[in-house]
Amino acid sequence: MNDPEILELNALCNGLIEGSLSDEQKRRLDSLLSGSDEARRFYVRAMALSASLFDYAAEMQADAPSAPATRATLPFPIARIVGPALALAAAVALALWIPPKFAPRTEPGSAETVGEETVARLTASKDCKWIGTTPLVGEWFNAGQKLQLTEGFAEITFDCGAQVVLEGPASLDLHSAWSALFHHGALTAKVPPEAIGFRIENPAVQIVDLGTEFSMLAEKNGAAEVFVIEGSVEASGRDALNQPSKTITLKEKQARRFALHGEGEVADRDQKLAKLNRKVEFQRGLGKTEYTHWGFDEASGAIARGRSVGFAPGGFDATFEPALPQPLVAGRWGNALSFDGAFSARAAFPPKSPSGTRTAAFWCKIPADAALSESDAIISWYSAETGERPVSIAWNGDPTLGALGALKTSLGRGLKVGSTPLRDGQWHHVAVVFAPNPDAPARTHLKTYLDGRLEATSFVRGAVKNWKKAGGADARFVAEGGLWIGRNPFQGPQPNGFRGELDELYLINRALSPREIQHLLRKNRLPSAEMLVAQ
Amino acid sequence: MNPQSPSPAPEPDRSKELLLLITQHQRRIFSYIYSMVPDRHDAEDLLQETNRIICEKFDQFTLGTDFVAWACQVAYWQVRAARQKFARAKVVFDQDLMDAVAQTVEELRPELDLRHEALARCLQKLHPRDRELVLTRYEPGGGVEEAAKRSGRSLDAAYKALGRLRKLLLDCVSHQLDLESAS
Repeated sequence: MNDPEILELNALCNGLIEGSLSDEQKRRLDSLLSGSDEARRFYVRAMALSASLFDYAAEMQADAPSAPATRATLPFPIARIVGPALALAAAVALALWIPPKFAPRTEPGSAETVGEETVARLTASKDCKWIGTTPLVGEWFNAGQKLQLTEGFAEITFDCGAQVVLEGPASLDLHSAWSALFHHGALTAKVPPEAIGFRIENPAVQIVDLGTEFSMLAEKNGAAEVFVIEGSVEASGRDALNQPSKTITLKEKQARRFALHGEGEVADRDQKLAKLNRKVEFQRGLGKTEYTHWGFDEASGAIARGRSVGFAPGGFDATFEPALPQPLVAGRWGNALSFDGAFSARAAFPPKSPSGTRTAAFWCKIPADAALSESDAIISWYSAETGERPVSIAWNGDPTLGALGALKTSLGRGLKVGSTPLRDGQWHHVAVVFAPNPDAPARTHLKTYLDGRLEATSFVRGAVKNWKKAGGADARFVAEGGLWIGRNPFQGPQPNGFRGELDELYLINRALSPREIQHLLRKNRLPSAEMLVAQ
Repeated sequence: MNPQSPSPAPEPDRSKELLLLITQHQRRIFSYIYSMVPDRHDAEDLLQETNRIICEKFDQFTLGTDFVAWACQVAYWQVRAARQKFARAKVVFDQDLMDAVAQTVEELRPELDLRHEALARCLQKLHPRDRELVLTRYEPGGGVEEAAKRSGRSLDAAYKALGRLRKLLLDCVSHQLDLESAS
């Protein structure tokens, strides 16, 4: 090929890459490529260059400092077309997710935010005075945040479900949804079975909870006393040389004092325990709960009733597509909806709360022999009216995204895959909390609970550009929005829809606490405010 | 190669191998598809379908043999099926030319890996402003319009600049490979 031909071929390749070739130019490109091995080699190198650029650009976007908390959350298209570096990073990141490191504080006593990932919430307070910003009840705390309470009582619920009551003066650093560093003060932790493994660290001792209630008094000089009220904990102290000593198990009603150079008995144990155990009358800021519930217990014709609380009554019935004479089977509670891969249902989508938070919860049963091609969405929704981005909750059928068969939640172009395979023919309870970052609404915290246990928490960048084209979305879906059950029209036509069973679908207009999710799992209803206070 | 035939998922021990191979070679499979289907989104859809079939048919793959060659065969049939289904909407070439292009990709595979590595070095040599333009064009959700907007260029100027930069990078990569083979 001579220089003019190379230049012509290069221009044609550019036109092809940018989708701007005329028919005549396409014919010319065909002619050049058909007639010359050299032209074909040039073409293949040019196209490979573009393919590599997609790869590098995706990698660099994921590495960009503007996205510090998304390492474990792959932007959707990257994960789909991933190059090796990012794909492996994805696999490694998903498998070996390490919580954000605790960052050193810059100003003693200030409440400092170091990460964007939220890990806990202030769920109740009484006469609290804080150093730094005063958090409101219901406010989320970030990983790395340092809480300095000068007086009063604060109830902090970690995303794993552990509930810690701090009594001021006290200082607690939040490491992750599963751990905290306790500097000084008094705390009592209630840890439900779903949060076993919750950890409190202190310079003198590390406590790993085995499903219990325990209290801890930590002194500024580094010593700490641990009281087990119920259940048991594992405690690892320090020996006389300040080396980690043998782990001991403390059982109900046992107490131990840990200092920086050894351990011993607790003085005035009963008095201290009585003081730690006294009941606190908290002020709780339980928000208004609006929700819609599809129980799938009765279906009349082609419709399953949707019951709403808080919203205008009616209008949330799910319509079956196609209409089936008997789509109901025995479910986890009463009847359930059975999907064969072709059947789906749709309903109007409940309006969103002012904060944009939501919780979706349901029971699902996925057959052990479900093929990867049947991993379409269990539920999906999109609301053009409220500006909410397309959401789908499915099981993962793409190994490049993470564990096969695990729960996959997609929001716009962001997604998170859990770690527990669901294809076992058993009922599982799924709850996903969506909490947009109030300071950056394009970023949303996803917290996924499987059978009541926190499985995944991550920050998802939901920025959606060209998603209609990217996803091959169903035109009707785009035009109308709504809730789809058993399919994801945002993805465009899929070879197969969801195969499995679904029961007790709830869409709730606020972020449920782990305790509320566990209550919903056990009782199939949301707890009342009184119940929560009594608990 | 029927994507709709339900097959059980691979055994757990092979799943690990599958995950490793499929993630390690995604770019190569995507690049193969993209050479025949030069629309990014169409190529991504076909890659996703190819991945799905690779997972389902992985028990037919012999560990230790050439995974990329096997995966590209799977991809080839997907592209071919797409060509029949969508005529020229997705695949721009007729069957003979598509086969010739596929064969050329296969022949150049080792070189294309080297070119991919060399491209990283060439990107570093670009002026930051040009590099930003290119990467914005290619990033997920990006495009020429976004690249034009962010760089303050007109759309027409961005198209022209991108064409010039791609040629510059192509030449730079060839030059890098020449230097490396000479040393």
